Amino acid sequence: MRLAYFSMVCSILISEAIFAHGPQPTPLQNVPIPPVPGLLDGSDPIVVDKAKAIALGKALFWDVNAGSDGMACASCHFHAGADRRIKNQINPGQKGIDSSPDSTAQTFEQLPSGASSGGPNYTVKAGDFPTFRYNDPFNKASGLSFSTDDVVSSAGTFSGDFSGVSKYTGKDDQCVRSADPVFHIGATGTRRVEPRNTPSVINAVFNYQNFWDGRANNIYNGFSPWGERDTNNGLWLKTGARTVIPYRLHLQNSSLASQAMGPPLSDAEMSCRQRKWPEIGRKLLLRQPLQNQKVHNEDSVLGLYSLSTTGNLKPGLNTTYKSLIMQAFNSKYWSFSGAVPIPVPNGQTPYNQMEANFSMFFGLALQLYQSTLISDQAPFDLSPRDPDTFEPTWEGMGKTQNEIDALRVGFEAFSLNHCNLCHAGPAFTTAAIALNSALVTPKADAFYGPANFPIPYGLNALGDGLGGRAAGISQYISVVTRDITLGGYKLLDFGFANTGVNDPNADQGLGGVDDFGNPLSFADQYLQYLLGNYSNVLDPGVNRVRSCDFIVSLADNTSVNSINKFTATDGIQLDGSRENSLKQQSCLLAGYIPTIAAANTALNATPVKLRVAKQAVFKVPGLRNVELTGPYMHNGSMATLDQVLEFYTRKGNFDSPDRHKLMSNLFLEGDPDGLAALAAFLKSLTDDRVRYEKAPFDHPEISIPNGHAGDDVTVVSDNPLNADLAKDEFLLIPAVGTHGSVEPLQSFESHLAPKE
Amino acid sequence: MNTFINYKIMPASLMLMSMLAVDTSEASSSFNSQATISFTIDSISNTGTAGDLSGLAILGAFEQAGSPVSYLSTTGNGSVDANNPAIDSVSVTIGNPFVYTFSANGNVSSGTVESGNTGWYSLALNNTSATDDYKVILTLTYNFVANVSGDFADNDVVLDLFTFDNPLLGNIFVNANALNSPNAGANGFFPQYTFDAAHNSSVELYADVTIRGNLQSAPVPLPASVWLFLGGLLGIHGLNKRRNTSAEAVC
Repeated sequence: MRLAYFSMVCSILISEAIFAHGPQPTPLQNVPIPPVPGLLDGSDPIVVDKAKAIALGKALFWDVNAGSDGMACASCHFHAGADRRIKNQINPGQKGIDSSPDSTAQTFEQLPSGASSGGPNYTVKAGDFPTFRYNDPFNKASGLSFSTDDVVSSAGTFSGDFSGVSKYTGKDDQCVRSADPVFHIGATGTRRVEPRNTPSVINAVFNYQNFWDGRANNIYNGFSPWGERDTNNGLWLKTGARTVIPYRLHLQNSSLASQAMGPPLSDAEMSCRQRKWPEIGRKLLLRQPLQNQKVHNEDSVLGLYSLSTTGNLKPGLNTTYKSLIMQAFNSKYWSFSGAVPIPVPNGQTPYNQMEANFSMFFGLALQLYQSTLISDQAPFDLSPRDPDTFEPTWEGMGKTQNEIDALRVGFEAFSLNHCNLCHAGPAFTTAAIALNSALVTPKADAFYGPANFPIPYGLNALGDGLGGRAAGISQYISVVTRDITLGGYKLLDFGFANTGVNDPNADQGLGGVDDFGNPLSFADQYLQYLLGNYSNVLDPGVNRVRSCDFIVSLADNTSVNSINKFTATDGIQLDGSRENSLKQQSCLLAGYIPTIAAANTALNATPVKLRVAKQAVFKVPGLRNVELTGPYMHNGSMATLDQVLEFYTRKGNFDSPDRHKLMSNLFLEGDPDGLAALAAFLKSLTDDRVRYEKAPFDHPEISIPNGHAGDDVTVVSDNPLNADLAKDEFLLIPAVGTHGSVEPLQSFESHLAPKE
Repeated sequence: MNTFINYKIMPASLMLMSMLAVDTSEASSSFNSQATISFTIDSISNTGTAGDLSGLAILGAFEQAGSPVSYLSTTGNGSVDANNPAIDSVSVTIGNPFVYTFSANGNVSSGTVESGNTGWYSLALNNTSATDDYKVILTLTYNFVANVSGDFADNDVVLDLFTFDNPLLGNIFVNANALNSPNAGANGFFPQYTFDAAHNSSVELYADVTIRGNLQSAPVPLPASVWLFLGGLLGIHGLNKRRNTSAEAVC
């Protein structure tokens, strides 16, 4: 009996080892940034001076004047591109479905520290993490000991009702402010907190979509996050001396610009309610960038414009935002001398074209700046590599043999446990669709990786044996795949997954809708495509989905009936035949889809064939610099990498029908050395330039609201903004230049108070 | 008996109060800009009957646009001076160009100014001949000056050149701002334009010039010397008080 058991375990382990497949982790050096046709190239580019646009973007990103009450983009992205504040960082779970009577979406709950923990202005402690826990953290069967829908995230604005701005001075907008109905202590309002954890902006340029739920569309329209879903024309193009026309952009691979359209108008992050982009333009354009923030004279981008000298750092740049825009952007977007015909608040002068198009300048400048934030010099990247396998050897890097052994074990464990199938490619995420596709596309004399160990582009660029294919990566960009979940085979947005972090009712993720009521999920739209409801397909990429690249097939050309796939007996057709443009290039097997009639029949008769995974489905984050970017997961529920690995060891927190099946195939339990090795490998992904804030990760000074005077029980009021608001405390992050800081950034957990 | 008023230090107190009052004063901001546009006829030819130019009249004109094209919004004592009289149809010939200087100036010492003033230049080529067609070659030159002073001042001078057929013939945009270019300007000319004025038709060339100003007065900080003086004054006062106190103790 024992022998049989032993044999079974061995065979499982061997089979898992055999099934250690798919893309291998690879270095990030010299990879292509996803192209944005029309932005910098062509006969009439939008940006005419890239360096100036990057300077503009860096200044805007770090400028606290961009917010209504002192919040910059960088206020939540100052620490390895993320946030490490620990005070007033709790959201009650407002992304939850709050229609049920027992919902706590708008109610703060206590955290694991005890009865007095949690809520506004609370300082999180080591003992509060993880916020979803089991009696035995390695074993889900041991029983749940604590859970909450509260989220550890980032404090933002007090918000208020917007009424106006000043053109030259003052960081705060004119708003009617009062204590928030949710975020308050007694009658004193506290700053609102985001409902999702802040992800890092470093390497975010590789994400096909951004935000946890992907709502920052790959296509940038110039004025909103929604790409082609937003049918308005929010920009104004100069077509004559006396004429401007409504206009929009259609820029591909620009989800960072789409992302930038959100926070500056968000009443949780940076803005008073009803503030609009032209008003932000009116506030900032004539000002000195970083008006009250010191800029290092050796700043890698802004040093050219800095007023500082060695040892004497001064605030501001020697120019205006308006001047930078005039130099960076095509004049047809800003040189119209007349008034743009959009409504203006009573008593105000008409908006000029530069104000009216400020969203576009902001979005594209931020995208170009963030496109420089690529961390490709981690030890994992810099290690010598085996010339045959391209795997890192870690030799000659000052590491002990024990450390090298651990890193090798960790590297292997990463693939053995299938982490590589979602955290795929050099950016460690399948969400880097354009990057991964580019690398697996054969291209003569094209290489990536370090110069001394160049990796050729092509089908094996991410690993031998068509390494990318097992993860759904092909040379063709396909935004939907079909994969295995606890609820069976389902269509799934590529680069997204439900790993069981929490109950879908606490946050639906991709199960949500956009501002117009359309489903966020691309897979949902693809279902409409299959059904022939083409008018419901809003995003152009959905029509280009290739069924032959699906991880599990949707339709097979066989006469045998299937319970979860379409076959010839149902009615199938070659993929692309609907458009008379077959999507069969480089397919291993021909790709089929159901006919429209078969799909519509199945919708009622066999809906299992058309299921979509979207509930609690979130973007797969990249893992680079993960050592420094805690707390982790979309809800900030874990503070340490050890807690993350415990989570994966127990195969997730919450099983729901859309949870990815790969979570069931992790075999980390009972292997503390393996876990330690995996953690060591993850820490090898930290770029020291990020750790020491060296260029391109250097930055201006910023003073960040960091909780309020007092604590979670009593708070000091009399904020200068309004007597009913709590007095801010601040975290001052000093300016650093190209050579960075002497002090390294520390992990999130090191900033936490000890366990209580 | 102690009294509230100390006559010894009263002059110093008055001086202190007057100096503190300085803190509430504001520095003025201003802009001063002008655009001179010249339409110069380089050549005229009759494409049919050489030398006969009798059917062609070239007329230059200028008009300052009213509201809402031009606008003004001020607070406090902000003001803008933009009085540019209209010129209605002056004859333009070879050697007799049409030249006009359009200007606007703004100032504020307490408050704000937001203004936009547009000047419409035009050159009309009117061919009244029933048979002859004309070819006119002309050059447009410009001279822009944009000056600002004060901490918070921004000034644009924008020229757009266009015809009915070509709404974007040329654009010049000059910006002066207090931070990096308080004295800006542009001086140059566009490439020669050739206009064909067919018989019984007219052709127009337009140049719109807009002068925009944005001003805000700035608080005047106390100079360091004043702070030093005030510090010294208070020190003397304190010393005086201490001497008095010790004298009282002796008594």
